[in-house]
Amino acid sequence: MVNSSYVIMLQAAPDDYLAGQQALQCAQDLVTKGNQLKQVFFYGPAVIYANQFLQGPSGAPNLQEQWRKFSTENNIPLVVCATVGSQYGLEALPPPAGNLAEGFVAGGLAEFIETLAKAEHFLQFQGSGSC
Amino acid sequence: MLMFHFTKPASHASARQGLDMLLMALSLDQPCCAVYSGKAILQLLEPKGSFDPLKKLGLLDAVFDFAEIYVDSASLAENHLLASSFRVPVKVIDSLKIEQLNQQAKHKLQF
Repeated sequence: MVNSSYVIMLQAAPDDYLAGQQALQCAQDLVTKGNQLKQVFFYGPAVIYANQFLQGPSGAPNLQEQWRKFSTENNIPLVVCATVGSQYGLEALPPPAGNLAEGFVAGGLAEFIETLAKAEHFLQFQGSGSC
Repeated sequence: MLMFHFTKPASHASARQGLDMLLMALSLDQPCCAVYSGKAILQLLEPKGSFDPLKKLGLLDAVFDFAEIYVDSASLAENHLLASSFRVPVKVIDSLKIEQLNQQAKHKLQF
């Protein structure tokens, strides 16, 4: 049974591990509790998550892989804003034409707004650098 | 109603990204309001340099006839500005009214 519908927006860059882990944990908790997570939207610096060449420092959690695993296991779309992505060097096509990482889909703000409008709840993770 | 609450200075990338999202929401006929508080009220001033990352602000009024732009009265006083200083028409409201908008909103997006 579905309890409530949610949309998550992540804006923190991948090197903001705390924000990334908080968002991922929140997404996992929502799904575990039987809620419908309609979409995880990557906006602002978080679009870098969708770059297939993303490399974290040694020992750091691979949040890109963890998001991909979460998405695959729970059938949750990971949507990256294509327009902002292009401003961060993201070519929103799978290799070799672009550098969009497996598991992510490029979308637009229109798709996000339409999904948001239908969702009951919205959660936003801006990150620690968003002062 | 979607409430877009802007709190970052004009130089912050999220100011532009939030504006882009607000414009998209309006183009999809979503009921919206925009609240500017803190340093974000400076986003509404005419830019000092030639580069204007927020030049689309003018579309709010010119294209969408969007009148739900609110400015926090305390932030206005702190920055020694008047509502007439801004490049778009605004309504000056206090923190109580901002909280009321917050309560009325289905979703609140912060930029």
